[in-house]
Amino acid sequence: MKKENIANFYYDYIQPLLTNKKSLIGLMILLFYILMATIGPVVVPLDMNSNFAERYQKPSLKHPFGTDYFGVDIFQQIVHGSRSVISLTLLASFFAVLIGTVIGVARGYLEGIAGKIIDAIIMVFLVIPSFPALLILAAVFMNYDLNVVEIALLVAVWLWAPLAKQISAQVLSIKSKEFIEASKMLNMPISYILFSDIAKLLIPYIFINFVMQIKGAMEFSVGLMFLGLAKFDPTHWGVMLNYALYQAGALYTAKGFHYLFFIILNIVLLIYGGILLSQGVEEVFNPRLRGNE
Amino acid sequence: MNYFINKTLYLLIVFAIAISGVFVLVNNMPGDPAYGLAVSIAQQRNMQIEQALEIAHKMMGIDPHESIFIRYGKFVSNLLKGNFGYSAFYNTSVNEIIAKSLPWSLFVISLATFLSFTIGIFLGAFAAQKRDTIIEGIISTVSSIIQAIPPFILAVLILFVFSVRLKVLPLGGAYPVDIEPSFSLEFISKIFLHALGPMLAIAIPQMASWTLSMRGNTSQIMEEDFIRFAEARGLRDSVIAAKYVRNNAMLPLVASLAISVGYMLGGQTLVESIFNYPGIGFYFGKAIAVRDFGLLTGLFTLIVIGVILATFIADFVYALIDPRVKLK
Amino acid sequence: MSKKVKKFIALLVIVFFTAGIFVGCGQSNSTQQESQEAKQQENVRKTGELRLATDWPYPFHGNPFGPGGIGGAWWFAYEPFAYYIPQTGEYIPRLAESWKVEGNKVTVNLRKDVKFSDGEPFTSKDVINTVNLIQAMWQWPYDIESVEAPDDNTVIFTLSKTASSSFVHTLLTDGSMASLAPVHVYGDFAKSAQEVADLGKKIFYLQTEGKTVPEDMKAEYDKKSDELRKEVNDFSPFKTLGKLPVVGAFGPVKVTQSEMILEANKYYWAYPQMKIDKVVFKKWSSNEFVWASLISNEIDAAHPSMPKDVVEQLSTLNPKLNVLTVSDLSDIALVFNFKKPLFQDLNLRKAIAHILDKNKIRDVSVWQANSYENYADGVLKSMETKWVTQDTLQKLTKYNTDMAAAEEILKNAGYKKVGNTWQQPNGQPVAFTLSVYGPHNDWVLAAKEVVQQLNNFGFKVEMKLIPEGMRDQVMRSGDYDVAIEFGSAWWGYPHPLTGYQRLYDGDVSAITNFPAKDKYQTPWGELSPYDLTLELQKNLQDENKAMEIIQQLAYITNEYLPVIPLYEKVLPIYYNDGYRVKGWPAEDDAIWSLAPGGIERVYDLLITTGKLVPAK
Repeated sequence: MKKENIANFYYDYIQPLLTNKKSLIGLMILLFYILMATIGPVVVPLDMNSNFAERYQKPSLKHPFGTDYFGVDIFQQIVHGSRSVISLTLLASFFAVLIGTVIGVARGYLEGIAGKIIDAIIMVFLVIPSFPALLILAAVFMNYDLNVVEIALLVAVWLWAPLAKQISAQVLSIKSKEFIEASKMLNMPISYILFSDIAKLLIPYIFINFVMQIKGAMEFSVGLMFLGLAKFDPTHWGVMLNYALYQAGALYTAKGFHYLFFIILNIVLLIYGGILLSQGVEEVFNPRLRGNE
Repeated sequence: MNYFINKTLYLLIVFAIAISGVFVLVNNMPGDPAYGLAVSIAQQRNMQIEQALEIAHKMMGIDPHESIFIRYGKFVSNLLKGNFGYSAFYNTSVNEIIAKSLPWSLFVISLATFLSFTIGIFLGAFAAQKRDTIIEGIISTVSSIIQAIPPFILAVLILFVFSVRLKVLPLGGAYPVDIEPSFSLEFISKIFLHALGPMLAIAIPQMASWTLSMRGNTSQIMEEDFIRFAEARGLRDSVIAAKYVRNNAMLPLVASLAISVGYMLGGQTLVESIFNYPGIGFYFGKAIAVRDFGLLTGLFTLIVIGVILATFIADFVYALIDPRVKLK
Repeated sequence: MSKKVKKFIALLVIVFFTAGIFVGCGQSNSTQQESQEAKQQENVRKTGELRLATDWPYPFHGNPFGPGGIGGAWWFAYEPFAYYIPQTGEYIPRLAESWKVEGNKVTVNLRKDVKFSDGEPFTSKDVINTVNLIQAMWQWPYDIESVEAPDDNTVIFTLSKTASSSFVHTLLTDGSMASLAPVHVYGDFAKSAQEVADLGKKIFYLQTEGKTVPEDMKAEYDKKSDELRKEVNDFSPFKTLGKLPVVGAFGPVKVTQSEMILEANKYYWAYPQMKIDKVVFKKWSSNEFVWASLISNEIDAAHPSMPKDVVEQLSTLNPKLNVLTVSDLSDIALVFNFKKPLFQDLNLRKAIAHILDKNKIRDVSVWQANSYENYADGVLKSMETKWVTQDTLQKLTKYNTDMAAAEEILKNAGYKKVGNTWQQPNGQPVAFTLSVYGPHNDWVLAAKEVVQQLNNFGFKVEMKLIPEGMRDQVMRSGDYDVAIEFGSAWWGYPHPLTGYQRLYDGDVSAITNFPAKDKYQTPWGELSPYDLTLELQKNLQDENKAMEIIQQLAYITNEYLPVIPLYEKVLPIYYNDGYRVKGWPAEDDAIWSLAPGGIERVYDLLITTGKLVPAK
């Protein structure tokens, strides 16, 4: 990429995001978690040795988030768990959005029999209840020792369809709008129309969906772990949450409040960061909304 | 009329692909429903597990060597007769299981959907109109947070707060078993009271996500040309809001409504078991755990049929209320 | 505005139409039957009520031979000849008044004037029909060669030559032996059941004698048993009769998916003493639901595992709630796959036994359990003092947590520590996978801790979860290195024999493939645990001889480690005293030891002896 291209890219895409309040805060939150997942485990050591004498300690300098039911530091677990949350969960939602977008856009563009076929495929995945189907699919593949990417794909297979359906509807409605007609008349190549014009309109939409998928992907991957269908990671936040609720009964005892609180706080913050960023992206890139600012 | 024939044909094809896919998937699951029984037979009679498996298969009426094609043929021909199959684990027809559990699931889920959708639409539209105000901030922040909380956490929380601590909600069941089912006011009110816990656990996260979607759709549509024309014509804000924006923003959501009902039917195993509510999610979980392939296929088929019919109706209704869409 | 209304209506139409479609798929006969049943319950004197949590198959068929049987109602509805209290070794007569064992003949004198809940008398003919049906349906127990009824109140069982000596115990205490199939309900199947049972026994005895079974006999058996099985399986007394005639204290009268109501059998032989005549079951749908129900007085007793901190708060959450623990007569152990060369090395197994901090594992997994700090002798921790002598204990290796000891054992055996990792004598790292069944949460926690401790020591251990529904298959096919499983368990007949049979000639040996027939060096000479188990079975009545064999088995088990027990499982029993009922026995009362393998027996015994009474 040429230097001036990079500069253009910065002014077109990055700078607006940094000036918008919502997207800036959202970006900062996400950046924080990405740092946590990448360099966090290197900086923060993980000591999973249970220590029954130090159970349920309140937050302190030694244990920023306190300790859990086993006397293990919660902060360390959150930091190390962020890696599997970010890798498995974000990867799964990423794949879901990717598949959903490609198929959705293709459906929006293709007419006639090809469009009908894609429509039918989307429909098939829509009507099959996803969570039980995922469990069965994972069971079918259980002897294959899948890696993270493959498991993420397995999860994504049952998440993409609603998005594809919505995107195809969006594309259909954008397609009929005048400025696209105009680009067509100007004889712009179809790929240009596809990626430049429509993508710009769809980005906010795709983004918000990506964020919405995170929760689904998180639930699905935890479900798989507990059923022994994905590699078990005790520091995955969803797994920690299950321990807090069922094994430690944290709701029933005042001592356990911080245990539950800090896990939920981190899950909520991560997703909230994503939602903020997506709302910011929407405001920045939706040309009409921008005109209003 | 042509539209109906086309649409029906299309949905029939989708249905055929979907249930065939499910059938193949389910029948390729590793595991044998008779294995548990075989182990106890092997132990009692001190024999090899292979031999015990043979006996167990016979006891449960399973033929492990039957080819998948024959099994598929049986499944389809049964289905054509309105028979959803046979549960080896419960030794009963899937139809009977459906008849006993589905009405309750459906009751809670339609209630939850209706409530979450109406409130979500209202809140979402309201937030979009009050863009860049504190109200919008509060609505979207709160719904983002609720949206992020896993539903089973909410279920345990509701159970703990309302049933254990405050004791305002009853614990377990669809109705108190010592009351006779009837159309009396008392019974109906009990049914609603018992459904309240699971209903809230399902509805609250749903509501949050409807709110967020509606907020997004509304702010997009508010910028559309015809809204601007309306503004230019000097119509009052509220009229514009009510008449054009809200209606148009709602349309795409109506389409996903039918699908969400189907999604929820298959996925409430945890919530139902936390509240001990007698729904279909329980059987879904059990069927997977004990590898009851007949029951599993039957339940899947039921939900697929339901979602397809619901989509059909939704499309139809959608076309009726949206002047821009015409039935071809 | 009208458009808005239209849209609202459209929305309603979608939601309720969808609902209608689903409901239309098959709501029909769900309510009619229930209303009939409820009418029958109106004219019952209302006194006491006990609420419990359990499980049952639904749709409910009421057929003990059907899938899932009658669930938690089993011990209330069916009575064994006697209850056995493991702690005191005492038999409490129930359906039998007395019994006599002479050689291979067991004569049982039935209690007189016992009636089913529909008023029909219970006689020896019902016992014969029951034995025929269970032999025909379950191909068990062929230990009974024949049953005779000289009169209405006497049953004579003739046991087969191969019957194990512990079978008399099973005969007397198993709930299925006496009253499952009353003649007036299952009479239609009596003739064919007897035919199938006789044929089955004939084939079985021929096989055990090593003779060939004629093919036509096998074919005839297959045909007849298939026919009978189909007929009996499809029979649903609860649906056809609208109720379940039971000989026990309570029978189910109303069943839904989430609740079951049992009413007292008015003709029950101890009915005059009972102060409680209604038992309500709530479905055990999840542990959370059971916790919530206990804390809010919705149920009166249950045995869920509850975290330590919640239990410590019980007095503030619900002061009426008490807890006590009894042994569940089983232990949770680390089991090895002896097909893998790594675990054939006794030194490694011994080292592992020293590395593991069993107290910590217990704390993390099931805090109320009894930990195996020192010995791994195959006798349950709570029973050790009774069965293993001090003299024997002194001969045994103590497997206390001791890293130095572990290192020494390994070094002497040629293992080396390179960097942070231990290597086998052949230079390979000590690396393996620990498998654990995913849905068993407490096992997963134990596994997590074991993996942690072994890795800290310098092994390379990974944890693998066995998916739901796959446990038996994975374990039986030997697709694991090391696993968490039930080790010694004394279910059925609470005696060391049962535990050793599991380890050397039963469920555990079937998954570990421990070479039990090999001879092992002991202070008593070279002995094989397999032979010892057989000998113990033969000498069960001879107390001194049995004790001696148990010492030898304890020695072999402790020194050769077919499994490493981690903790003895306990049953925490939570009961609510003074809300609905009162009169629970003290914690040290022997009656509680009846709980493992059928806790409902304890409740049944407490109610029918008049101990448990309404609180007001």
